[in-house]
Amino acid sequence: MRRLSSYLLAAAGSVALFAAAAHSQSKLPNVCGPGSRGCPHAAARIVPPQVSHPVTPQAASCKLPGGWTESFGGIISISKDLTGTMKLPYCSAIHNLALAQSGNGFTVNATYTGGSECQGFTESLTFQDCSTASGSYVNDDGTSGSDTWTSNGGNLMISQPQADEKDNLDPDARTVSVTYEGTSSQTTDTVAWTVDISYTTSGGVGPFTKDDSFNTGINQPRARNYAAVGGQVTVNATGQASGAAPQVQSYITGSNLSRKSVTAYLNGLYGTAATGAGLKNYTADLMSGVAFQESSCQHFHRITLYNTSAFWPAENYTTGNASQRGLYIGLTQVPTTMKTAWDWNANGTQGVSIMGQKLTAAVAYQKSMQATHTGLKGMTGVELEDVALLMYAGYANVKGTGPQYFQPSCSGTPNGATCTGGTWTWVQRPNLSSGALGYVATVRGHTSCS
Amino acid sequence: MQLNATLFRGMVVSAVLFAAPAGAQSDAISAQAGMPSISVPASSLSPAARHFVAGTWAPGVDPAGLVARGQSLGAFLDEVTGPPLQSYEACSAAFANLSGQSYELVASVRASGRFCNLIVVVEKSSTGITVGQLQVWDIPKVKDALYRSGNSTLLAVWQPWSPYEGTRACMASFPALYRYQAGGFIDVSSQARSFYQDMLVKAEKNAASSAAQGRAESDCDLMELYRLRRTLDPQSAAESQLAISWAKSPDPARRAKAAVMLGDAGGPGAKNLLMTLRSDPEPGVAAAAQGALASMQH
Repeated sequence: MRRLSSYLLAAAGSVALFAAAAHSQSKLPNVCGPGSRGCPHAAARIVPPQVSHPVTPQAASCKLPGGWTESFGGIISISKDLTGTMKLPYCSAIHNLALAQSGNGFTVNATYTGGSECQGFTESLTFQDCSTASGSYVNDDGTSGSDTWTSNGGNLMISQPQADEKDNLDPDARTVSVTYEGTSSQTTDTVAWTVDISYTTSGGVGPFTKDDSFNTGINQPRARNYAAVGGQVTVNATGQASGAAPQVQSYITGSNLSRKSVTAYLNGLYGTAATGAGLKNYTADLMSGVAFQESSCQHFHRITLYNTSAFWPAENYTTGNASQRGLYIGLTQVPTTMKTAWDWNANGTQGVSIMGQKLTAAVAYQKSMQATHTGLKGMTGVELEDVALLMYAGYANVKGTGPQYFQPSCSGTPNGATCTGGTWTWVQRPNLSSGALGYVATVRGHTSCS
Repeated sequence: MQLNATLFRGMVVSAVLFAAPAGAQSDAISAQAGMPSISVPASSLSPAARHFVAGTWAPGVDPAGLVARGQSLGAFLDEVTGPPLQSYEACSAAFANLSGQSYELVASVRASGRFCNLIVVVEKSSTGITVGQLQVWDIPKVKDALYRSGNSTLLAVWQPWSPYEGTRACMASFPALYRYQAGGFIDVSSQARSFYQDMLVKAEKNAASSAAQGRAESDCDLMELYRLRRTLDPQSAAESQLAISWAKSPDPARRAKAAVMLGDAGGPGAKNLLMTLRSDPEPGVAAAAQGALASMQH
């Protein structure tokens, strides 16, 4: 290590010396270097001293994307697709670069479409270590020389969001604002951002994703607003001049609305669902009881996800063949999507919609029973709700087959559709399971999310 | 035992389904755990359904790939299971030889809008199709429910054991084994000692790792383990002891679970404890105890 360090110091010194020489030239491009013109083919050129570096084992896996400088003062930016730009101090325009990496090195094909003062060139360089590469260039006119590239060591840095930062969704608006800022020693630069928001439940359900991309100036914070998304945020930024910044991961997490607000919202929706299903005398606050049973009226629970303890969407427990946590999510435990996981409002709406379907199914069940049980009156609104609750819970079939919460009973002697010597009335099914009874009782007992 | 009620496409389903005195029919359904089978003549099927039925039903074939353009598997299942509602969504499906004669469509269905709590089996017959339906507890991937036993393929499905309480507490479930036959589901659990022995081995490991990791499902893993032990050894008293302990727990979820175990496993003092739990301040616990007492009387 000591030996390698001394080589690096020598290389740095040579670059500094050459920079001083280049500055002494009064006109562009009165210098010999890659892309310059007018260099005598056989005459002495300003060539940086050759520095010998040992090839380290990691050289083959060195990465090119990012920011580099080179011996002639050029500032290089290389993107992930191995294209880039080089701005040489003695050229008025940039060179466009196409690179190819192989083995311990890479080749560069530089084209120039600026003025006549500069030209294109090719370079072939070998990694000395992952922050330095040395080799030679050949200009289009055949002049050549040596060159050394030095990585700027991640000159661009993502200062916002910070690593592991948690940005909370606003519980009312269900939106979150994330601020992005890139800082660099460059005074002006365009930074291209790519943001991947990904949510996977603790049981591996997902990923549900949302991507975002935008540009900023350097050192210019920009807030981006997201609605109904959350999870792990992977941020990449690349500056045109200042290269790629080290990746940052942050999180969008949840925060709960008050139980009072949840109750008001769900109950407001339920009235329409109930009357839409044809229910009279329905229980106005039934859905908040459902939300209590399903999630304790808390859309987000404190659990650990991505090794981060925070308020994440409330996940189902594993049961039987359903071996994944997070198949069902949130306030009303509906199937997981990005929206149902991160927008409690949409989750509640979907839950109420499903309950509305169950109420419709309960009414259909009632009608089918009335068609085959002469004189059977309709159920009360509350009884229809109980039938629907058992379907919502998953204990009863929505098509009315199988055991339902209420069934017709004859007070006399049943004879086909007729109840001889008595009447058909609705009675609670006598052998309902503890779970079925418990579900309905809990919903009925906690209709204020309490 | 096999269900007798058979429906035919084109008949008024409710009239056939519910023509018998409701109580008697419901008991039959309960004993079978399945619903009345449905027979649909080919002539009554829609063109889209006929297209699906005409496809090659074989292992490895994706059923969703056989549906007619614009049709979904859920719509097919909705059609063949009859009115009144169009609400079935296939969670997953496969072709399997449950009958021992041909390959049937086996689908887990999201009928409640949430869980995949229904197994639908569709069998081709000489005149059309026969449909069986079995209420289960959440089988997102139907292949997980197919159990090979010798030359037969059975359905290994989980039924709810402790009350479902959403995210407030885990739910214990218990596996049952069914043989499919002509639209009916025959409970063969009592003949499948080796199945439960396999399940017990898994449950032992599961409960141990669950307790060691402090998983939130550990109570349910323990409950399932003790139930399996009792299934294989009816003299096992561990479950009753656990139930007595949990009946006095400050945690209402444990008290509800205790009620279920007391009602099923019985044991000394079970009835008295259930009578006490029936007055529990938590409505869900009291109701669970009421259900357990009712099940003891049955």
